[in-house]
Amino acid sequence: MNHILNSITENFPDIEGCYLLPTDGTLDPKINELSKNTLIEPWIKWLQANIRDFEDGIIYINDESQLITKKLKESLLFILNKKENITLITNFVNTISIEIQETVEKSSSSNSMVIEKPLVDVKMMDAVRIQKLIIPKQEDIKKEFKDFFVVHEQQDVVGGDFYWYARKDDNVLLAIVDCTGHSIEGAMTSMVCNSLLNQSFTDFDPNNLSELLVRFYDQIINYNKTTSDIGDYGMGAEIGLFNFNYKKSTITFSSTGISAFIKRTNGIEYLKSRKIINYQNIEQSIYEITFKMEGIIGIYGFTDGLIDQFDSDDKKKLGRRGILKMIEEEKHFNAEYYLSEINKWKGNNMQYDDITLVGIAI
Amino acid sequence: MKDQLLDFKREFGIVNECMVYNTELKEFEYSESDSNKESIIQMDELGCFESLNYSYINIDSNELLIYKGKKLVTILFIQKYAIYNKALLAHKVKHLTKTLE
Repeated sequence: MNHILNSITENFPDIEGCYLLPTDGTLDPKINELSKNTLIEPWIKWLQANIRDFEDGIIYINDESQLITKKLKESLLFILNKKENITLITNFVNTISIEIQETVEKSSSSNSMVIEKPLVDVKMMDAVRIQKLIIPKQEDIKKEFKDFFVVHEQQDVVGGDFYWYARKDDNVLLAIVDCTGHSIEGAMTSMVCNSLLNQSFTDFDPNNLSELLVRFYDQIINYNKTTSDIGDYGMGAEIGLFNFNYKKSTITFSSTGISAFIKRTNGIEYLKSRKIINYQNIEQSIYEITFKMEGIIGIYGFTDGLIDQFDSDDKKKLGRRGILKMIEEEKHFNAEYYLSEINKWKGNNMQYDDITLVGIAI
Repeated sequence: MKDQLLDFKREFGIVNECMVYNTELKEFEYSESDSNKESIIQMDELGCFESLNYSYINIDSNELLIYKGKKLVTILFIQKYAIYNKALLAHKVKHLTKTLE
């Protein structure tokens, strides 16, 4: 069974611990070690007492830690987690348990057997894998800047937020995209929007960044018109597009609905885009600004899911002031710091929308 | 309490049954059956509620959502294999428990 633990820790390197408790009641030293944790000890005792009837569970111990448990063939699996995406872990564990069950079924009988499978979860894992295909590699983007990070937290296992990156000569383009809808409908829209963005980029003119957005929206409007069976409800997206022109040492930000902060040596400036997109007049909906790279330390672009995230008491939105405070008090320029700050704000509250925060150090 | 819980059940069709356990009085303030009562009492006796916000547990062919407030623990029995927004339900049961307290 050690290969199960290895497989989990390889796929989720930031989990706090991963353990197997044999169902015959014997305790291995690792579980003893876990039992010393006073928060977890009562749960291990309870699970031992109820091991016969127990199937699986997620125990949210406090605002930071979760204990994910699953009964496997001859043991009970424990995963202690703080940082990794819990939905992805549970889906992964479900997939593993199916593989184990299939192995058992095959070895116990040569006849083909019907095995009950949580098909939705396995299909969702495929959807996650497919959506990841449109997300550029962070290592590739990091090469273009002094430093780069992204916090990309979907409300569900898939979602409507994504980021996009392209290079042409001396121009590096980076976009943050917030598609209409969450979960599956958002993910489907994101796949189409990614293709449209790639198509719009083919005739890119570095002197006219907003033209790329106009072409993108023209295609979306066209798409919605030609598939008008669904009535007025069609696809839509907000885009924040940066062009880093290294020849001219300039940065252009062209945006519809995505806002950003620019951190300079002498202060932080807020770039507020127009919130409402008028699809009849896209040019008027685009906010565009160009500035010199000189004096800029960092750029932070984010989707409205971050601005609109409610606090743990479900009373107050994070807002741009909350994001500004995080940037002003920045301890580390990395995703871990910002994710930790967002989680502190959110506490035990639910995530209301997909969240994307991109940080670029110049 | 009964009316609030029944309203909640009406709002969320996937909830089959509700229970409310009082950790101070060590008794159930509301229950519709004896199902899994022993397991809940055992959780309290072992101190599990000291380290719990909420949990989803599949036990004895029941899917339970257990939310711990200040002194009350709300237990929802959810339809097996129902597809629903877990975060939203946890959020709603948090508000329900606060209201009951």
